[in-house]
Amino acid sequence: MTSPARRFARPLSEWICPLGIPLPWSQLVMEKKRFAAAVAGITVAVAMMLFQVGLKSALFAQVVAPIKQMRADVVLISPQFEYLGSSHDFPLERLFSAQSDQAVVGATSLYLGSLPFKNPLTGRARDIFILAFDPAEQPFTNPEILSQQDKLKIESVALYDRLSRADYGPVADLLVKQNAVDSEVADRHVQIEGLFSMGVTFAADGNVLLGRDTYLKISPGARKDQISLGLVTLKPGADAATVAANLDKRLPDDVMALSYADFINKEEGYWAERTPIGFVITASMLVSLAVGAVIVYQILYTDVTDHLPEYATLKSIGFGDGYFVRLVLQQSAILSIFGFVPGLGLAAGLYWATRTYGHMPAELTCGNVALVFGLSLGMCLLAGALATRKLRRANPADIF
Amino acid sequence: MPPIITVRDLHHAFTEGAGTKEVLHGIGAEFARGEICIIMGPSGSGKTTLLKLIGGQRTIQRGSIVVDGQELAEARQRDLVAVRRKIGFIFQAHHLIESLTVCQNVQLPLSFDAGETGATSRARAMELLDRVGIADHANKHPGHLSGGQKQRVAIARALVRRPEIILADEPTASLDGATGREVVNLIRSLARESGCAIVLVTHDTRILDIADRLIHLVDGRMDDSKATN
Repeated sequence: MTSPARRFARPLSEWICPLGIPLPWSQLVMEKKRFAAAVAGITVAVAMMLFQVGLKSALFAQVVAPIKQMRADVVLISPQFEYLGSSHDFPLERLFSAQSDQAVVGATSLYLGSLPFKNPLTGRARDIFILAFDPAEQPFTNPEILSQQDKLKIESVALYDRLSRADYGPVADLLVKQNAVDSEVADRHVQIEGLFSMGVTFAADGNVLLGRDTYLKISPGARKDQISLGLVTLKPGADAATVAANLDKRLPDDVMALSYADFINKEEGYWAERTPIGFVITASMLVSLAVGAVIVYQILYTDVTDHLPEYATLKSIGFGDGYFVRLVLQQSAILSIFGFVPGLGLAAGLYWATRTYGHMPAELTCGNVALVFGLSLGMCLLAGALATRKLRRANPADIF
Repeated sequence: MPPIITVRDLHHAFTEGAGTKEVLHGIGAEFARGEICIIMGPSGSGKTTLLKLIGGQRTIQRGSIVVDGQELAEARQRDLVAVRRKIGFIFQAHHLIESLTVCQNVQLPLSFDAGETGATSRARAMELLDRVGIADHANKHPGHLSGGQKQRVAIARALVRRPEIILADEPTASLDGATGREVVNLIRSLARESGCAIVLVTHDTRILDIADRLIHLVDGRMDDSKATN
């Protein structure tokens, strides 16, 4: 008989696959149709989970896409700021005051607002998000904007976001055919002379960049001394959170200073916590995870149940419960891996469709892939462990 | 020499509808090493239930079974596993693992032994398969074998670890007369060589001649009037 110590000393390979007999694999592939069906079920569950997780990431990446193109370490905002589309103004003077901080090397202002944009083909107008700035400054890091922003020095010239919704008209296509496209913003003529990519958000179906002077001229009530955002850049090595806290303490109450990271969190937090959108997205992701878990459990439970007589045979000839748990967990791991790989491919296709047709920044990130793989593997293992309960509790003779 | 299996006052009942039906009524018997004992009886007499209780495959409800010094009544799971490993069980329906080859089926119980490797276990399995006459089918799956061939594989699997006890449940039930005869002769010759105890349940009267002792079960009771020694 084998002593426990000797058994413990066995190589891991023997512990997992005794005598090199690949029973877990053999059992899975013996019935190829059932194996294919199980893999297909897990594939769908994995793709669904990856897509939902990716959709959530994409939606929140989308809402901060304009911010991600801004050059800033610290951002000044109005205390009434809710989100980018409802930013409220504060005095430009606060930006000048912020520049007196020793850690600050630069500060630029942004004017934000929504104004009606006229479809150049149909003549129909609908609101578009306006980002205006002094073209002599560089509030954005987007190379496309940097290379074209000098055009905004000319009055009435605008740059148009090619990712804007089609409702605004085929501006990008027209611009390729002709050097400029004539349109109107707030019933005032503008000439679109360039394109850039920023992306739509929950608050904006399209974006237009204007020079500050053009904006002040066409936007009713806009004032040069009232700005929407103050973008502050710091000396290398300066701690943005500390500088923001200092500025916040030193500046009057009509302005708030946030580090760039906190500003992004604030924007994401608004959509995630203060609107139904965040709840709906999170809930749908959790539901997809739950549905995926149930699918995986059902597949594995059925598989184990179908093989119960064989497992009972093994139990009756002396295999212990630990062997069955290892066997089923190995099957679970095999199924989760075989289901995950095509699931990943399917999700990649869905992401491509989302990027192409939904203009959303859906990307397969390592974090999301690892999260979903961990979840699917965990679900498979849990389902496998649960599925062996009947076998562990039963006498072999009860199962024959 | 003390008996390797001792059964005392064994009762067993199955749930039937709202009530229970007792199938074993105070069975008592001893089985010695090297002995071939056949338990006979009509269908429903309780002989298979007795065999499965001895094999640690059912929970003992009342009475006692001691196998090689281990009391099975209220035994811990690990003790039951240890007892099962001492027994070579030959099932009526073979119960081979369809997804494994014939050789792998026979190798599998050798995984209990720490010294075994894939190569040594395969060699031992092939030795047994050769003894039972189906070494040529070693790489086939059980689904491609006849009933008699499957039973030979089951015998090889039961004997591969040189067990001290062989329990055989109707080993000829699914076989024709000639094949059944071959199978029991094989069990007997292999068991004689290793000196293990054989308890064989059957209602096939053609194979009684291999027995050292017959036990008759009728309606869950031992029929002492027909007992032989």
